[in-house]
Order: sequence, then C-alpha cells, then structure tokens
Amino acid sequence: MSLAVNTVKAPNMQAKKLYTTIGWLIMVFIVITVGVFAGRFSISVTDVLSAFQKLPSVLYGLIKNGTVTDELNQAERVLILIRFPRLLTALLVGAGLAVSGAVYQGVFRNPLVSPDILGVASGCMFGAALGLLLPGSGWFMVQALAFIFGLSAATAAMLMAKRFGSNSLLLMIMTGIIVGSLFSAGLTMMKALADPYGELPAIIFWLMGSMSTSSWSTVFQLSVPVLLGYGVIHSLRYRLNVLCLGDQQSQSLGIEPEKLRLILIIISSFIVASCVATVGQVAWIGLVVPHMVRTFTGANNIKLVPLATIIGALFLLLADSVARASLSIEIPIGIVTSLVGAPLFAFLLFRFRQGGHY
Amino acid sequence: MLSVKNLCYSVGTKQLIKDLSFELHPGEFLAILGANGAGKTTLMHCLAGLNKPDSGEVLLGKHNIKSMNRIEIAQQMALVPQQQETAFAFSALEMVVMGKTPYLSTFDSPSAQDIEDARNVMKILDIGGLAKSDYNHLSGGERQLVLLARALLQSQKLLLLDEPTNHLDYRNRFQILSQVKRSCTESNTAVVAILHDPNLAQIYADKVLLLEHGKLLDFGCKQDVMTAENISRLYGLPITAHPIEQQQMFMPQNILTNSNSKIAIVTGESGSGKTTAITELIQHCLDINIKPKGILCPGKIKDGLRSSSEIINIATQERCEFSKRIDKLDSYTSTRFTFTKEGMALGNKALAPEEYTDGDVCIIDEIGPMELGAKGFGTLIAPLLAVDNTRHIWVVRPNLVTQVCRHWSLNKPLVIDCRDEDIQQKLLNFVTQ
Repeated sequence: MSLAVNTVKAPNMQAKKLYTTIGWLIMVFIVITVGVFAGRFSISVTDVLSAFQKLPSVLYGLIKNGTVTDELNQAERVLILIRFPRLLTALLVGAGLAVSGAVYQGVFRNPLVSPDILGVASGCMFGAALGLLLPGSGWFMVQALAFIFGLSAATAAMLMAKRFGSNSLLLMIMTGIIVGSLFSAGLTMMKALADPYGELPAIIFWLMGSMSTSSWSTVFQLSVPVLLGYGVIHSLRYRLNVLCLGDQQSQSLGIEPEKLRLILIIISSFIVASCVATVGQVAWIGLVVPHMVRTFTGANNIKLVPLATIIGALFLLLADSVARASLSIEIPIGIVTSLVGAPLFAFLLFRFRQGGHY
Repeated sequence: MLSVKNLCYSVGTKQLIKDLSFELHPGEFLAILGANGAGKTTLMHCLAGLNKPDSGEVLLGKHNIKSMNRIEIAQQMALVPQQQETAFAFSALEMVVMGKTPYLSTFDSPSAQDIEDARNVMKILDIGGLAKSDYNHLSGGERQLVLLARALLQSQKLLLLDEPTNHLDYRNRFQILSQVKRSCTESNTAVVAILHDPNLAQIYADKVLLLEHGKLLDFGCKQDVMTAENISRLYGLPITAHPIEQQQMFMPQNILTNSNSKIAIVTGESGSGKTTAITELIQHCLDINIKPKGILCPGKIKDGLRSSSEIINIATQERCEFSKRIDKLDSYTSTRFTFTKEGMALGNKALAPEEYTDGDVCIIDEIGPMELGAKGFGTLIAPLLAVDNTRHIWVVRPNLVTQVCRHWSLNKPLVIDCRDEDIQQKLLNFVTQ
C-alpha cells in the first residue's frame, strides 16, 4: 500500500522540485540583468556580451600583474572594472548577512536576534571610525581595523558570558549588549573628536553603508569568508534544526550544543565582520530576510539556509541597483534596504499569516 | 539494561539526589513517583547524562555513561522531555525525523529513507495525518504523541519519559501509556517514566521507585512497593487502597468517606492538662484490656516556661529525654528547642506504620508546627492514617486544629477540649466504638 502511494507521489515531487529550481534560476537571471543595466552610464547588450568575452583575460591580468593590460572601450571598462565587481560584492554581502542572520536566530532560538547581537557591527563601526581618524591610514587599514574590532567585540562578549559561569543564551545576549554599547560609546567619542569638515562626513558616510568603492579585490577579499563560511553552515544546517530545540533536547538527540553553537557563532561572526568591514553597515538584511523566507519555508533550516542566502543576495543586489539608478546622487544602501524591505515584509506577513508559520 | 549505583548529585551545597541505587531490565516499565520537588526530573537528567553526578555510576548495559559520548548514549536511550513550545515553527514530521539525528554523521541531513521511517512510526502511533501540521499548533496530546514517535524512532532500547501525562486529557493519558507499554512488550523496550498519578503507575508499571526529597523511599516490584502506607507517606496525604477488579486503586481517604470517625483531637492551651488527660485515658484503656500505642511527651515547667520534655513509647513504656531549651535558635526546629537523637529514634520506632495493625489505637502527643512542616514525625502521620481500621488520638493546640485538619484532609474529626468534664467518657467511647 505504502509502496503504491510512493510511486505515485515521487514523480510529482520531483517535477515540483524541478519547477521551483527553474523558477529560482530565472529570478536570479532577471535580477542580475537588472543589476547589469541599471546605473547612470547606459549600456547596450553588445557591450555586455563583449565585456563577458574579455572578462577572463582581464581577471587573469589583474591577478598576475595587478593592472589591466587589455584594450577596453569605455562601456567595457565600466562593466568589467566597476559594475561586475559591485554586483558580486552586493551578492556576497547580501548572502553573508542573510545566512548569518538565519544562523544567529537559530543558535539563540530567538527570531528577534540580528547579527549585531554580540556587538560585531558596533565593533566594526568603531574600528572603521578609528581607521578613518588615524593619520595616514589607507582604505585597507580602515577595513582591517573594522574587521579586527568586529571580531574582538564578539569574542569579548562570549568570553565574558563564559567567565560569568553560565552558558545561558540570555546571558550571552546581555554581554553582547554590554560590549555593543561600549563600542557605540567609543564610536560617538570618535565622531566628537573628528574634524567636522573632512573626517566626520567620511565616518558618517561609511556608517550609512555603500558599495561604491567595490573593486575586484573587494570581491576576492569577501568571497573567501562568505563562501567558505557558507559551505560549513550549509553542511551543518540540519544540526542547527536540532539546536533550535534547546540544549536538553539536542543533547538527548546526540548533539553537543556548546560545541556546535561555538562553531556556528564563530563562523557567522566572521562572515558578518568581513561584510560590515567591507561595505559598512547594511541594515535590515540579517534580521528580516530570514524572517521573510521563514514565512514560506517554515523553520526547517534545510530549506531556510540556502533560500535565505539566495534571497539575501538578490535582495541586496536589487537594492543596490535602486540606490545607483534612481536618483542622480547615490542613495545610501541601508536606506534602500529598509524602504523596500519593510513594505515587502509587511505584505509577506499579511499574505502568509494564515499559513500558520507565525 | 540500566543500573544505577550509589548515585549522588548536588547543585551548589544542596544535595538533590542522595545515594540512589536501582536496576532495570529490558522490557520493564519503571514508574518514578514523588511529590513536587522531590528530584524526579533531576534524577531523570542524571540517567540521561544531562546532569553529571558527583559520585556513583549510571550503567547502560555494561558501560558507564560517563565514558560514553553523546551519540553513543543517544543511540541507546531516547528522552521524551516535558513538552514546551519551540521557538520556530517546525512541522510534526520534521520534529519526528530529528529522532534520526544520532545516526547521521556530522555533515549529513536525513535521507528520504529516514523521512519514510519517520512517517511509518507516526502511522503506527496513529498520527500520520499530522505530518504537515505546525508542532506549536498541536494539542497537548498530539504533541506528546509526536515526541513519543521521535523517541521511538531514536531508540527502542530505553525510553525516558518526563511526566508524559502532563497536559493530557483523560483519554490521551491512557492512550499514550498503553502505547509505551506496547513498546515494552513488543520491542522489549525498557521504560522509565515519571508519573504523577499512583493509579497510572499501578496500571502500567512493573517496577516502582518512590523518591522522597532525593532519597529512595522504596524501590521494587509494583506489588511490594505500592502500598497505601507508602503512597500516603510519599504525598503526605492519607490514602486508602480500594480493590477494583484485580487491581488496588488508591484514593485519598477523605474523598470516599464523609467523616473521619477514626480521629479524635484533644485540644487545650499550654498547661491546661492535655498530657494529663491522655495519661489518664491510657490507664482506663489498659483497665479494659485495650493496649494503645504511640507517643507521649510530658513537659517540665521551670519558672513558668516549658524547659524540656521527655518522650515515652506508650506500648513499651521506654522513655528518654526528647527536647530541651537552648540559648540560640536550632536550625532544624527553627525554635529555641532542640530534639535529641535518642528521642527522635524512640518516636520514629513508636510511630512506625509497620508496627500498627487492624484495630490499634494510636496516640500522638503532640502534633505541632514541626509536623505540619513535614519535620519531626510529620512524614509518619499520613501512612499511619492509611493503616486500616486504626483509631487516632492527637493532641493539638487550639490555634492549629483547623490547620491540622486541612493538612491531612480530615473530615469532621471529633474535637474535645481537655477541660471538658466528660472527656474521659468521650474518649473511651471513641476508643471502644
């Protein structure tokens, strides 16, 4: 009996899976196309095709000699040296923030948790402001300091929680708040000290987040932590499901919650620190994208983790396209994510609430 | 299958489990009974390896669980926890599939076969239709069945159930325990379940463990352990066993009878002659060949204050010093009186429920605030009341009478003031009725 049911069911399920995958691929293609064509500099389809043809040799030259040796016309230059790396940066940052948001929410068993919970973002911002203030420090220094301070904030929060002798999640959230507010105070201090005509605007623009400085080196620098981190999270995502049930149940199901939690927090903090250090603070994605995805996948991380990653990536790419193309000046990306995301999230909540996931 | 030897567990300076030993074989159903806060869940978490014991050992088969890793333990025993909401909305099927976790390698997800197995277990428990429902939206009974399905998928060797009948309606209680019992008989599963209803233990368990303040009160086969005296003592509530078909069913005494004709309370202010009246009564009883048992505590008055007292075993006439006034507060009594060890031992022997049989008269002088707080001889009173056809005469201060009646659920006992002129006649009538 059960065998008969299976044979009827299986092709249906497979067909459904196939359609969903094709649907997603089409969506990815559309969003990337929008991203390629959006912007102040208008571009034709032939430009894009020739840019794609020249891309491998340009990249090869960049890696080998550090400069561009190929002959490029203006449209190709814009595409290969500005727009493509920017697209990829947006995809990587969006993916990174969304996946770490999903992980943090699962680990802390709380859907209201965002990746800033352990003070990572505050630490990054403090580090970046410090970099912008220090005399003679270049762009690389700013990013490096942001990354280092972001990770030290999370480490400090976790060590403090451990020192207080309990592995309770609530305690970790509180130590995160302590560390976060210390770094925010430090940041305000920096702003007060900064030269109001040169340094202060730089700090404020950095804080608003922007992808305008992305280059191929940004892409390489981001892709290592984001792709590697995602790989590990992807393969641990089923364990994350079990971890969501709490320590007692996950232990009785054969999982060591402390270890798993530590690994997941380290990896996602690493991803968040590298994203924020590269493009500044991008609000909304880490907190809300996992939520939006959960409205139609449910809590199962097997589906949630990959889907949140894809949607986070596409969402940020789309938001960045809007930021670049809609006005003659570039709108800070954080504003666009919230402006577009909030109504979308409201709609999803309204639409799927009957489905029972919330 | 499971054996526990001299298990001790404490949190801070508080010892929660004290020197516990017992053994369980495959196919046996062990019920753990105990009052709230007796340490039942703590004990279960020690068995599951979630609490690390201070000393003693928990053996699973031949292996100490201390030397086993989490996966090895999880493959042997499955825990059905007290149900709580999950933070995220998992479907019932997703919850059940998690039972396969200990069999997956670190980077694996459940296979189609695992999901099929989960569906089958759900079908067996008759909850196949719930597969897609949100776990948080299920009723208590359905959740419990889902958790049970997960546990059965995880291991059929040893099941630990933490209050499986909580939140369940009358029908579901029996349904879930029948299901567990079936697993015992069909798959030779060993089961440890914390239960709150002694009658459910009576129906389903093979062995019973009674836990009192972290200590073993009794452990063994159901027939030996489940006595009205034991159950009364465990819950501090007088209970009678009533035979229904072939089973003994337990019921609080005050529910099935309208009046406690078996209890007389002698009351009166301090120094009004309560102990004297009782002494006189004992003499009258002996005259008509009734031999009362119990304790008598005559006090010595010095400068208008009670300075010390003696304790007398009425049956044997043994006596020794019992309490005396000291300069500081005593930590056990929380008063300026302290009890002697010999006095307590003598009292415990005189009031031991096993010393009493049908028709005995038990005198307790007196029942005070200590007994109401389950100290002194407090824990012995409910089991004494559970002995069939006994009569009890208690000495109680006037301001405590209502409280005593409420504490041991007494229905309208005979209350006599010790200055009553007919007190001897009334007490004799009570003893001889």
